[in-house]
Amino acid sequence: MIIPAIRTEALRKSFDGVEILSGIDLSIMPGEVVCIVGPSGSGKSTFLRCINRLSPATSGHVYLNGELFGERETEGGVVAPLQHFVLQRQRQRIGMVFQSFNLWPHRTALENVMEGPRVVQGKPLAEARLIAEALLERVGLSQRRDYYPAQLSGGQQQRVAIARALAMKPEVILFDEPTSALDPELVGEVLQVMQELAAGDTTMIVVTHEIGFAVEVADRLVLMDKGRIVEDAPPRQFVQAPQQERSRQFLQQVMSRGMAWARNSP
Amino acid sequence: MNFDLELLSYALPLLWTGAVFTVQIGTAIAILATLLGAALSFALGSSLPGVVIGARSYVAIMRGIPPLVLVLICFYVLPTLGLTLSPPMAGAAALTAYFTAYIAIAIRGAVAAVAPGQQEAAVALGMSRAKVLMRVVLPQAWPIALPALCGLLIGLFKETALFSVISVPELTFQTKQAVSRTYAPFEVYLLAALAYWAWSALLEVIARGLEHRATHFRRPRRSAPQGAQT
Repeated sequence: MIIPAIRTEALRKSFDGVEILSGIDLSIMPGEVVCIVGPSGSGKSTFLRCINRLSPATSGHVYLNGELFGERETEGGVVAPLQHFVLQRQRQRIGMVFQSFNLWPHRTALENVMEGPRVVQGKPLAEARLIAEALLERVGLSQRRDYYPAQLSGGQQQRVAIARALAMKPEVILFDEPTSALDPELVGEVLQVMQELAAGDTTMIVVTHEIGFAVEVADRLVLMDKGRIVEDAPPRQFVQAPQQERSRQFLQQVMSRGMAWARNSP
Repeated sequence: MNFDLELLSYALPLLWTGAVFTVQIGTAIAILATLLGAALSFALGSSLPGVVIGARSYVAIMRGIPPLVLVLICFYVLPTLGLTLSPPMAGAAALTAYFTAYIAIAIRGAVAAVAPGQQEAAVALGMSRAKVLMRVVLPQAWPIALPALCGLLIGLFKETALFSVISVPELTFQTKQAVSRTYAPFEVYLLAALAYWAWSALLEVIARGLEHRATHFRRPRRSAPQGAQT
């Protein structure tokens, strides 16, 4: 039996009594690419943030390659939160790419990528540098390695952020709407890097509004709405024969938006 | 009214010793208040409600009392409570207490101004809390806090003039001494004002230099190859 890279079990999250996630059970197999789509406010981003406990779930559990994440079992079977330094070590195994890049502005592109291997993993400077240089090469930014984030375009910044996540050699990478903050003409370069990753054996969970990308690249397409998973299917099946009425509705909205765009564009 | 050189030769040494004392005591207060202010800024951002309430109350009290009153309290009231301080110590204690509060607010504000996503990126990478603070938060809070901090510290040197009321031999006190002996207030006060201004101007130049260096990463590259490579 293959152990899922990530498995969530009845994940619930409430903010001030308002339930954002109403019990999410999802398994992502090693090497699998899962794209999560859905309307704004459906809990997609919250779900990602609950996985690596940037915002801990109200209840439910996350398993990383079979290992309880951010919690531990005690004798009574009760699950208690882990000590902070243990959680830190577990977090190194899950990468994250943010909508707003969140590169550190006071460090160059190369330094941003080196930070994880050097400061978090404690690798020697020369080794961290080699790792970072190779990754910047891989995302096509070797020439920009000594630039500060403010000197890079949004697309370039997001590619550096992807390299920064890859530098930790994570078992899973979470992408939180990685292209939503980008100018339309810069979306392509980021999606291309992600597509190359997906074609390799990187395990990815991608929250995105780019349906075209999701259909082409994902192994599974998941629709979330009101804190629940509505549909979870291979993308072709999802688009051609959705099982749920809500999925049909969503697809219709997305498609008509695309058509409106096509009509209005020169 | 004409400038009398003999008068200057009498007043200048007095003013010089005062100026040196002002710089010395001001520097000591600046260092102390910065360290204590940094500590207090942590208390302001603490996760323990009691600590936050204590720190905020202290800041509120210090913001509500004129520094001159604090100086007088430290010199005249503390002895009745069993703590007798020499005039320079009393004055330094008062201004240190006063500026600690303002510096704490400036630092706290700067730390709070660092975008939350900055810390999240580091936390998601698995960085420890101490390293998040040292490598992500403080380097970015520094350029934000710097203009306010420099303004406070430059102002601090001018506030030391208050010490003249408790006979601390700083610049203003020595100036008054010189005036009372020479009966030439115009020349002597002018000199004192000039000395305060020169010192402030010097600090101002240093501050601008520090600010320029601290924000180097925000500026565009000077010789960026335009769109040559992606």
